[in-house]
Amino acid sequence: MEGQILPPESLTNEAIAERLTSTALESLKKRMIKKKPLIYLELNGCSGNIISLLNGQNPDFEYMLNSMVDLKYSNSLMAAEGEQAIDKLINAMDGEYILAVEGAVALKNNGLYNIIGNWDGKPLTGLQAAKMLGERASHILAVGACATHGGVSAAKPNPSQSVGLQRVLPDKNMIKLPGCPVHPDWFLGTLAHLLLYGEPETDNLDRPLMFYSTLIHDRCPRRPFFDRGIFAEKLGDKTCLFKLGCRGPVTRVDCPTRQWNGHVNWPIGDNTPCIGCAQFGFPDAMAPFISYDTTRVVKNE
Amino acid sequence: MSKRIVINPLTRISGFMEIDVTIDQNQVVDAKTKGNLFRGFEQMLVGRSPFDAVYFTQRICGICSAAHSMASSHALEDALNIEPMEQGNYLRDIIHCCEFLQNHIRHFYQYTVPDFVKIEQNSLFQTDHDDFRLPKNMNDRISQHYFDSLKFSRLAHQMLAVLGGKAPHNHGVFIGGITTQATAEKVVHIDSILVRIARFIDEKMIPDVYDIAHFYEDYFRMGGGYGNLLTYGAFNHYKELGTLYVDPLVSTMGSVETFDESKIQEKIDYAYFKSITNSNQPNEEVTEPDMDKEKAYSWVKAPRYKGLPFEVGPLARLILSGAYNNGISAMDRTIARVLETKKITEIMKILLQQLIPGVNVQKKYELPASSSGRGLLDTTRGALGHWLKIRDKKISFYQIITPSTWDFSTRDDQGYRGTAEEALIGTPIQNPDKPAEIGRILRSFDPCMSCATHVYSPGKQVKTIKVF
Amino acid sequence: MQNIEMIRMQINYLVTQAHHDIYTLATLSDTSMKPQILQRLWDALSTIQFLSEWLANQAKTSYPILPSQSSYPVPSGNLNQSPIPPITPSPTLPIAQSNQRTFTIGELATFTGKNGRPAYIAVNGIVYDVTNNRAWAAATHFGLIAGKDYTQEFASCHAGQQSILATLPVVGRLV
Repeated sequence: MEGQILPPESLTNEAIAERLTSTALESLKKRMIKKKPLIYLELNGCSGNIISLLNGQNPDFEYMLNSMVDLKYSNSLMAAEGEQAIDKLINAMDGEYILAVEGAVALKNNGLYNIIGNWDGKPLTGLQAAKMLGERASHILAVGACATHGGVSAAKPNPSQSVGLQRVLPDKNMIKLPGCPVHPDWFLGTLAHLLLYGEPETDNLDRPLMFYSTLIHDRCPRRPFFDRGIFAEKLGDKTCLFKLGCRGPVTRVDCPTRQWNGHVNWPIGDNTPCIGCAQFGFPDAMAPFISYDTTRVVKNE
Repeated sequence: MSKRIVINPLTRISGFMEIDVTIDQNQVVDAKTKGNLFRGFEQMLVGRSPFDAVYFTQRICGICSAAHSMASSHALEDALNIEPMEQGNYLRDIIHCCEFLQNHIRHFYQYTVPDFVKIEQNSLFQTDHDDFRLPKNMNDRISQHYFDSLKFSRLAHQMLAVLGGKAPHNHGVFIGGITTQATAEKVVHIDSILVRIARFIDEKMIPDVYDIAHFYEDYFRMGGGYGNLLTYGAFNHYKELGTLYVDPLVSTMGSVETFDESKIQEKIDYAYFKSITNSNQPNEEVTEPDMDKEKAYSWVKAPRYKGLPFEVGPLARLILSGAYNNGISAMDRTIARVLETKKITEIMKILLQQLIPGVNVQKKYELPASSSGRGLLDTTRGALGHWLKIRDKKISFYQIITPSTWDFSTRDDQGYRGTAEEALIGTPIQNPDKPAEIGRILRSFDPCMSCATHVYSPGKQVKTIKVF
Repeated sequence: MQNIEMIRMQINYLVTQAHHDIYTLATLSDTSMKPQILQRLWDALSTIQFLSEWLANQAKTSYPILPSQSSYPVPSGNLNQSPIPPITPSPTLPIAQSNQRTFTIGELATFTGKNGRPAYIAVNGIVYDVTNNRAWAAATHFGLIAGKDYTQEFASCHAGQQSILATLPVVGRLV
C-alpha cells in the first residue's frame, strides 16, 4: 500500500475502510500495534448498530474480534449473563479501553427508563454506565444517530427524555458517527484509524472527515436531474427525488459512493428519498420523510 | 426453602430484559419477565405524516426492522384503501424472507449456540455455567460455524438491500409493495446468494441443531408452557399461489380454528397502565401510564386471545401448518426456527420465479382526511400487529402489539401468566448459583425486548425496584 | 451578468486550490493526509464540472436573468459551500418582473410549496423563493415549513451567513 496514490472515487466503495483496516492488521502482525480493549455499550435504542456492525465485510466481525480489539462487553453478543456479565463490564474499567456507545442516554427518572443490568443488587442505569465508563475511556465513539444526538429515541415528544452521549459527558472528546444505523465501514474504519494513527481528523461537529466530508447531493448520480429540474413525482421513479423530500442536499456522508450491504445499493438507488439519517437532527429535523403534495410534473426539460 | 434468582441483563437478546424467578427444591415455582427500557413510539408517532410511519416504526428494532415496515405498510394500505399489485406483494415478501434468513441465522448461531457450545476462540464467550456436553470435535465444528455463519447472515441482508436499498432499516418496503422494480440482474444476484445460503442451512445449520438437541435431550421436556399457539398467517393470501406457508390459525388444547382478530384483547391488570377498564381492543385509545399501580411489575401489557395467553413464532407456525409434530418445548422451539429457515428459502425461491421485470408498483398516494387501518401478519418472531388512525391527514393514534409482547406478556386478572413465564414453571434447576436453564428457555422464544417495551407509553416514577 | 462573473470567480478559486493541492501531494511526507487532499481535489473537480455544465446550459438556453440577482451582493466568502443558485425550470416560474410585490403574512402563508404552489419564506422583511432551493426539499427545511417569516430562525442558525440569502431569488417584500 505504501506510496500508492488512491484514486479518490473509483475505489471508495471499499477503499478507505479496507485500506485502513488491512494496514492496521499488517501492523498488528508485525506487533507494531497492540490489540486494545473495547467496551461496546448498548443504551436506549434499537440495537441496530451492532446488527449493522455484524454486516461488516472488510473487515468482518471475526477479523475485528481476533485482530483489532478485545471485546470486553456486548449485551447482544457476550456469552455471560446477569451479574457475571456486569462484573466483566466493571472489571474492564481497570485498564485502558476504547468505549463505543450506541443508543441514547435516557435522563428521565434519573435514568431508570433504561436499565442495562444489576450491579451489586441494584439497577445499573444507562445514564450511570455512560458517565462512569465515559469518564475513564481513552477514546469514545458515539455510534449511530441516538448516541450522537438523541436520534429516534429523542423524537418528539421524547417520552424518555433521551439525549446524545455528549450531553452527559460535556467535557470529553468523542468521535461522532451519526447514521441510522451506522454503516459498518464508518465504525470499523474509524476504529482502524484509532488503532493505526490515533484519532482521525474530524469536522467541527466531531465527525471523521474521511466519511462525512461531502454532501450526498454533491455526489448524487441523480444530480443532473436536479440541475435540470426533472423531479420524481412518486417513489420508484428514476429521476431526482427532491420534491418528495430528499435530504441528500443537507446530509454529509458518503452513501452515494460507498453504498450499503456489500456496496450493492442505497436509498436513492432504491428510488426513495434520503431521509437524512446520518445528519444531526434526524428524525424530527428531517421530517416529513415522504411528501407527495409538493411534486409537480415537468413535462419539458 | 425457596430462593429467588434475578438475571439482569439477560444477554444475547435484542434489548434489555430482566428475569426474576422463585425456585423451591430446585424447581421454578414462579417467574416474572420484565422489560427494561422504554422509548414511547406510540406517542412519538402521533402528529407525524402517515407516510413516515413505514420508515419510522422500523427504528423500533434493529434486528427485525423490516417486520415493522411490513406491518406498517399493510396498515396504511388498509387505511388508504389500496390493494397492492400481486407483483408488489411478491417483491415485498421477498424482502421479508431475507429478514427471516438474517434473523434466524443470527439468532441460532450468535444468540443460541453460545448457550450449548463452548466457544474458546475469544474471552467474549466465557460463560458462568459449565454445562457443556458436546464431544470436542463436534463442539469445535459448531464453534467454527459461529463465525462461518456471519457471512451468510450478512449475505441475507445483502439480498434485502438489493431490493430494499439498505439493511437494517430498509427503504424499499412501502405502500403498494416496494419502491424498485425487478430486473434480471437483481433476480440472479439474489438467487445466486440464496443458493449459497440454502446450502449452508442444509449442510451446517440443520445438522448442528440436531447434534445439539441430541446431547441436550432434557430440553425437549423443558420450557413447554400453556401450549396455545397462534399465527396471523405467513406467506399466504396469494391470488394465484394460495398459501405458501400458513394461514391465520389458532390452536387451544390441540383444537385448531381460524383466527378471528376481534377476539384479541389487551389486558393491563399487571402492567403499569391505568384505564377505566383493564381490558381493551387493540384499536381503542392507548391507556394512561401509571407506575404506582398495585401489583403491576412490567411495561409489557398482556395481549390475550379469547382471554388466553398464546405462544407465537416459528414453532407455532410449523405446528399450525402441519409441518411439525414433535411437541412444544425449548428444544422444539430452537429446532423449529432452524427448520423454518430452510422453509423460507423454498418460499423465496417460488416468489422469485413469479417476478416480472420492470413493473413499477408505486403510485402517487393521497391521504384521506380521516381513516383507520390495521396490518396483521406473522414476522420472524411471530404475530405482529400495527393499528393506526388518521385525522386531519396526520397520525392520531398508533398501537403496536409485537410477537414478544405475546410471548413475554404479564399475567392477567384470570390468573394466567405470560407465555414465557409459564414456560419456566416446573423447570428443574441443577445449580441455582449458575442457572443455565433459565436463559436457554427464554432465548428459545427469541425475545425482542426492543420491540416489546419500546412501544408503550412510559410512566411517572419507578417506585420500587425489587432486588434480592 | 453578475452571476456569470461570480461563477468565473469561483472556478478560478477552485483551480487555484487544486493547483495547491497537487503541489502539496507532490511534496507530501505525511501520507495520512493523502485521502483528505484527494477528497478535496475530487470535490473541487466535481464542483468545476457542475459549474461548467451550468454555464453551458446558460449559453444554450439564454436563460432569463432574474431581476433579483442583480440587486443583491455577490457572496464573497464560503466558496467551497458551492453557492450555486438553484436552477429553476423557467416555464413554471411564477414570478414576473418585479421584486416589489408586497405580501401580508396571510398571503405569504399560502405559498407553502404544496399542490403546485411555489414555496416562499420571509427573512428581514424580504420574501424569497425557495421552491427549488436544495436545502428545502418538499418545501421543508430542518423541521420548518414554507409560507412563514423566519427572521429569527435565520438569525439563530445562520448568523453571519448573509451570503445564503444572496443566492435566493427575491419575490417581494413582507408588509
